[in-house]
Amino acid sequence: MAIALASAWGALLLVTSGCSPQHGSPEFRVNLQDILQESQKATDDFRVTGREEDDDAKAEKKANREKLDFVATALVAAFGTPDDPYLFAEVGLPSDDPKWRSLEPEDRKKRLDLKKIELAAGSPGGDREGKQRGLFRQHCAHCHGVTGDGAGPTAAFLNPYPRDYRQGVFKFKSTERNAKPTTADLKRTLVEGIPGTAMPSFMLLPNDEIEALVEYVKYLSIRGQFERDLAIGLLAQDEDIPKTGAELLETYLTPIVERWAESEAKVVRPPEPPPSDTPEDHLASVQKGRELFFGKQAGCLKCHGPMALGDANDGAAEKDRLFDDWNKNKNAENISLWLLPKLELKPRNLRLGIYRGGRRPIDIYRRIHAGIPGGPMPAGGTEQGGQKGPLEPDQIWHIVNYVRSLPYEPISRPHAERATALLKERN
Amino acid sequence: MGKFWSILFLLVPILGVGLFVWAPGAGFWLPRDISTHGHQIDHLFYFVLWLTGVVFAATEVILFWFLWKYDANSNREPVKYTHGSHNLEVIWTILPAATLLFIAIYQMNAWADVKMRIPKGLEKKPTVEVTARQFEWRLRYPGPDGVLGTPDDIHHVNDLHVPLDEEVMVQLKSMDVLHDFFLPHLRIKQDAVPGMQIPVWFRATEPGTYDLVCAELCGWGHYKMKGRLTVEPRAKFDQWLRELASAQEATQEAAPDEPEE
Repeated sequence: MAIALASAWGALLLVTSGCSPQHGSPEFRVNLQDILQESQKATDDFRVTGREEDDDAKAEKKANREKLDFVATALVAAFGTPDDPYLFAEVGLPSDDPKWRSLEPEDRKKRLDLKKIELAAGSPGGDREGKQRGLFRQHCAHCHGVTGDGAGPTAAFLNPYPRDYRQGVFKFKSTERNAKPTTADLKRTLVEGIPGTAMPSFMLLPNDEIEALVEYVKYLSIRGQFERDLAIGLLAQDEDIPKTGAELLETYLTPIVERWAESEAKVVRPPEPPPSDTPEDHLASVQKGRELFFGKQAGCLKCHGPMALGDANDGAAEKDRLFDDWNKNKNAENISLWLLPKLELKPRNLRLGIYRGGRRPIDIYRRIHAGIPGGPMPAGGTEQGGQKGPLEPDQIWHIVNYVRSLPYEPISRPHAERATALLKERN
Repeated sequence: MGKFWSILFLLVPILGVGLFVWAPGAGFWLPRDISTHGHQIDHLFYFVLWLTGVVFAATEVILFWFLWKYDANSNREPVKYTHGSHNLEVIWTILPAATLLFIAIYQMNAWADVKMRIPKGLEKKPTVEVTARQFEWRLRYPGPDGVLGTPDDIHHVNDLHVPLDEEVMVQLKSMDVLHDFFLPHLRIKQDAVPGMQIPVWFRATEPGTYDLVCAELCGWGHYKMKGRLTVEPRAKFDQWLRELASAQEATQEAAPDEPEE
């Protein structure tokens, strides 16, 4: 461990001493907007202007500048470049490395596979060994950006915007609200796409390429969150620059890596749904779900609307309109900091039969149980060892059944009553 | 030097025809036809290819002959100008016009067979609904009730399966812009138009997996819009549908695999 850290710190110093990335190849950009937003600083706080300034102000600016430079250097040292990804041995190793093979299975699970990441990194079209590389830039970067900031060249045309991996927040996953997605969740998103958004399905890519892309998304997400945490720590909370590689790793990187590693343990595993094998049972469940949907306890209609058309906030005053967390803070004064304009969030129209996170009952259960992180959809279920939610598992299952029946329920004549009446006529 | 240029022009028909003689053997030709109606379309293709091929070769050879015969080095006579020949002009206007008219009439039956004469009752029995979207093919199969738009519909994406040796009815839609549903091995190519539901039908005669591509430039991600067609016997197809349907009803998910070793 100590040796690995020493060598990692050596790498950091090596990069600091100045080897610039190859000319013309894309770079991960350090993202100023978050830093400025979180630290309440302006760009002028980082550069010496022509105006007269006292020595204190100059020293402050110099310190700011040094910290910003440290962030940029630490990022290259800890993650390499888009053409040449790198990871500390504590974060990831190539799976064909002897060190990887000597690890215990649990320790392997905690680490990224650098071999997969290399397959996805680089420029498209294959490297000297003829191995396919550059998968991320070929398939993903035009929307999600080289850094994974969700602001690639085509992003501005899309609604919703592509996911910004750097926030470390993923909406459609199987885990509790505040947990990271599992590998299987990201893989499912790639394979199935996200209907109702611009994310297409990559089902027909070979499995190893999909797995490489999933690993690369995790890599970019960890890198991006590390960048945010480090910049906010140093510049907004005025922490000192870490003295050693070990300190940097422990304070800023390990907590993120550990949260990714624990995601498997945070998967929402619902109890079996209440039996609804007969049409009568099913209809009773749908009816209960309907009452819950429009009732106070679940409060679905507050956003999804009295017709479940997702239109409750149409034309609402600015303060009542809904936004994703990353759009919420944009306002007239600071809008120039962001690459993408402010975008309102539309609650799902549940009558379309399009489900972004999947249409299986278990998917919808997880949406209701854990909510949708990053947006206003709250967690309805009780988190494992955490906060008590307003809904019991059976109640969630009733709502699932009702939501699944909504695309087939005529707006003017509620489905459940009509179907019950039909059944009675038949008997 | 003068005759060198005429030889160069002679190379055009020779290489042009040579390319077409070489291509089929080298694998650069039409994909194998696995449909029942495809031979009609292939026949029209070959008919037009031969017609234009013969005219092309003849025109090029005549061009060569003029270049060769009236080479400046071996012709010392002054140039003679004419005001053209009325008769010739009439002939070379009427001949192509008549040929085009012939082709227009000759292909009508094939067009009607492929695009208009839906086998009886088939339109009411869709095998699958294909909705093109930037940039994927969303698929919806009717469940056991055989009707689309009911709760037992089976949803899938990009991976189109159809039964072997049966009339397959595809209801083609588009969610956003123009796309084109292209099954090269089945000689099927049909635009998907937003706001329209277009019936496309075919009968596949050989099991296997084939290409499904978008043949209408639909945006920057057009190249991504690649699907896969799998033709399989009815029993296997039904089994596949049942598996999809039960996966779609999942209320539980298996725990992830135990760590290896």
